[in-house]
Amino acid sequence: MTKQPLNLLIVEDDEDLNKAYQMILSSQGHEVASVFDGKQALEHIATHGDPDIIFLDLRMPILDGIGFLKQFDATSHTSTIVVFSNYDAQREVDEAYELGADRYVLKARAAPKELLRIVDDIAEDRRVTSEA
Amino acid sequence: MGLDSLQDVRVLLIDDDEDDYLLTKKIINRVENSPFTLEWVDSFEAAKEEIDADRHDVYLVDYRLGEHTGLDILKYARPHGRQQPFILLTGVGDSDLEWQSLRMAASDYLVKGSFDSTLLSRTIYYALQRKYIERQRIEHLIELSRSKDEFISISSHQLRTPATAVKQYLGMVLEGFVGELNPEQQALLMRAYQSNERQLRIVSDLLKVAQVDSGKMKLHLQSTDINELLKEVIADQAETIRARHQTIEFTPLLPIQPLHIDRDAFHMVFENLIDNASKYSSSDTRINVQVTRLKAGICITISDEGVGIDPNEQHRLFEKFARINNPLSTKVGGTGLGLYWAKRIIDMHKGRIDYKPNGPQGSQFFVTLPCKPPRTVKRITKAAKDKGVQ
Repeated sequence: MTKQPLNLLIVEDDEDLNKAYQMILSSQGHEVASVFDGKQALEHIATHGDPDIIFLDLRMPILDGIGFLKQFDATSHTSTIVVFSNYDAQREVDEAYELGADRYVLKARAAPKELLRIVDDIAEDRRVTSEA
Repeated sequence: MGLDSLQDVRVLLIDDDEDDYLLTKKIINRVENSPFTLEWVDSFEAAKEEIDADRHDVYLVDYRLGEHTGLDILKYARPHGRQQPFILLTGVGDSDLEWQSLRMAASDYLVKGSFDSTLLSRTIYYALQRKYIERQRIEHLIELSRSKDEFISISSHQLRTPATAVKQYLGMVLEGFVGELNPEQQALLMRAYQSNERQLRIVSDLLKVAQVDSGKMKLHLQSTDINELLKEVIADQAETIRARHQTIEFTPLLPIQPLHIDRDAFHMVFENLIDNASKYSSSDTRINVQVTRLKAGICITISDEGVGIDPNEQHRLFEKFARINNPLSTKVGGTGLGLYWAKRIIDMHKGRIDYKPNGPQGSQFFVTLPCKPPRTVKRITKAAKDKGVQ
């Protein structure tokens, strides 16, 4: 079965990490866009529509991940939201879940292949859901 | 209270003899421009109520209080957080009192019948002054400690992001994103990757410890099946343990007894203990993880057949930055923060962690946890996070 390319949006303020995630996620033929804060993410989505997956950092300048989720209102969108987290951000992760995040990834732990596995998992979930 | 403007000093006399009260009142009234207001209680029980109410700046405490003594008052007051000066009033014959009262942190003592208004006001004044300086010093130390925690936290955050980026770029090269590597290139980059992983672990340990030390760590208590949690941790480490040619055995507790603990935190605690058991053991050794029931809780025992811990070093095991020397410590690395952090988490759950040698060789760690949830922390329910990648 050939993989269906997905639309992915990376929201990460660190330039090097942002670029790395772009390279990793686009390696499997997915359409990858990236922005550097929550405000840019909202603008991107307003213009381009809902991505299939949003990879969302929590701590960012201008508008952080929690601020983004509050304004985004996940219930009225179709995107799967994966939060980038760290050990010391448990409270923010909890809040992100309450605001509609679907998964979290421990940034310092997830290697490239693990990020790709998450995308594959989500692609499979979305395929099953859309067929149901 | 600033001491340059000593005014409105509320003094509580704790004394079961009304005559002594009247005498002390007379002495206090003789103080010129007296800033003191004297109040009086005549029993241990009434004194406890006043100490609870925390309305006084200084306590004058009679040594003999019916069946109690003034030292009982001190024993009651200090654990209740009262930092005001307590001045003991003693009789002439109370000979070893000085030593005892100082030991119990009384500020000073006066011998009844031998002090006048000048000595009384001076004793109160200096007791207040000492407390004032002590409080300032403590506040300064708290501020210093807070700054230190903040410094560690900020610098660790700053270090973590670039290290995470290095992980992704090295990961891409190692996973063949930009073509095949020859074995030498693979080996060198793998060393770089592992060093970076170590750096990330150190930063993460520093952040975890800074969070606990600053009191910002909030427990997320949830009913947890300890057998399942341990199985999960063991499964996560199975590959590494196999690669070291070691075996791990698990004896669960049946029937299941749910515990109210922070599941994520304990995942890391057990991960740390089992990882240590494996790292500090050679190949062809066995690790045992066992859950047993105790009267008021359960005990998780993690034992190994590794290098063990020098008896002279055991007292430092749970100290911050304690690196214990053993034949494998240089090879293993480590920050000396893992066991310190684990102990802090266990303490927060009103549990305990103990160490014992495992026979002639190896170590045994015992984590004891109460079945009742700790009362000092709120239970917080949160959305299921079973899909998190850790």
